[in-house]
Amino acid sequence: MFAAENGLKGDPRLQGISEAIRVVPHFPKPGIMFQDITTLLLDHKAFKDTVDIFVDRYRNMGISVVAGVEARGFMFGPSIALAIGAKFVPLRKPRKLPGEVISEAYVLEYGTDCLEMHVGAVQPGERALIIDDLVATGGTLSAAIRLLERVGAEVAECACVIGLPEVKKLKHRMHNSKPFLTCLALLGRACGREGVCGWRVCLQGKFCVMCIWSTFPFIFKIHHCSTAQALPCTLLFLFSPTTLLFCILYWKWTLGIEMLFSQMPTFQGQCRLNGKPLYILVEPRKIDNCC
Amino acid sequence: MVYWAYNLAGIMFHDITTLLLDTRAFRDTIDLFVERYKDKDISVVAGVEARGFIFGPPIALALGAKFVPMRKPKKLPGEVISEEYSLEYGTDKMEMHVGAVQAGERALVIDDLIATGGTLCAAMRLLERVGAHVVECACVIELPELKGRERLGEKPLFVLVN
Repeated sequence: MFAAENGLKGDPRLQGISEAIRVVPHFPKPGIMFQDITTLLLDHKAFKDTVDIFVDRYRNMGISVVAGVEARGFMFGPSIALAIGAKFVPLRKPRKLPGEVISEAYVLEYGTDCLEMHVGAVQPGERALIIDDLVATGGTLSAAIRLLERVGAEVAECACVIGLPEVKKLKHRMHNSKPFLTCLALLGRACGREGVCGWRVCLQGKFCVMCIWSTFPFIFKIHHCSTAQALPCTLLFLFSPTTLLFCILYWKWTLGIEMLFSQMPTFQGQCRLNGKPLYILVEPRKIDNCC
Repeated sequence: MVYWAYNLAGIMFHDITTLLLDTRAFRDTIDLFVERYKDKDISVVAGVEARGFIFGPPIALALGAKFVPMRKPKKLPGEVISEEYSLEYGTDKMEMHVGAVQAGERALVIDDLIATGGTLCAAMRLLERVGAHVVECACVIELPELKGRERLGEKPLFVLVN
């Protein structure tokens, strides 16, 4: 997840990048220590190193699209796109892009916002990289992932310069989508083994697998049971107290409360957002580089 | 130049996003700007929000200059200076960080498009207020009927396509 843990341990460039970032306290509101990358842009060496690290990582990954999130993603994305020979696609706030767009809403701390992308900018099957300056809860990046996946692109990775501490809780998160699959993931949480589709299945094997198959046969390919076995399992699953609890938790989750989901087990310790890997250069600066 | 200019001519709504989808045309655009400014001792590339952020940083990196974003109000954290400018109806403001640019630095202002020239003028004034020398304003597209070039007065304007 972090560059220092992914082959760049001890790389002096990371320290230079970190030191070039400025902390502005109480912006945009009291209590928030804002990580300001504009000072990084004033440091030509640090800025170049930032772009070079991303370019070195993504050069040979077959990426044909770099999608940058407005507005600070625009400061890093195009340089990376040019260097790796990919096209640059801006992901913008509503009503900024002319012509036909697709929209994806996402949850903020208070209220919702929307991200838009041009129809036709990205073709099905293209491999995409999403870039932004900073990731906190991952809400914006999740919306970006959904936009690209809706047009049939494959998101190879999300890349950010800075990752706030909340990002370490992004293990198996799904944002505002696939609610029942998330409930099922919780169902499978008690077990230890990964299923065919990536969701953990119960060590008891048959019971959970049957529940999953019977409830969502069009999604999963696990066919360990017959319809006769599936029906009672379906009813048991749908009307069980566990299901009720999951529904309540999901309802609370969509209201912006991240409780139980932050404690979900990881995929080999890697940080993922909507199942996509996240690559971050540095942790946030502390107060000593304050303006 | 003809190749991507032809591409650009096919863009509707003067929308540069289609240029960004053409890797060769985008590369050529940046190269043309870099070629023009590489010996002009530019130490600051100021990009106007938000499409100036797409062209400015690659140019700044190639020139060895710093990139300074010029933003709408309340987007930049910390201490800023503001410049008001007129729109077709009403006014708007542009802000730049205090301390980003030093007196005597040579600056280039970049945006995707010049229409009336209001935003470019505001950007130039911000730089001149802190003592920088604006060498030129550079845009990909000009809408000549809106007379932005005249509004810039004696400040040179370089445009790739009009």
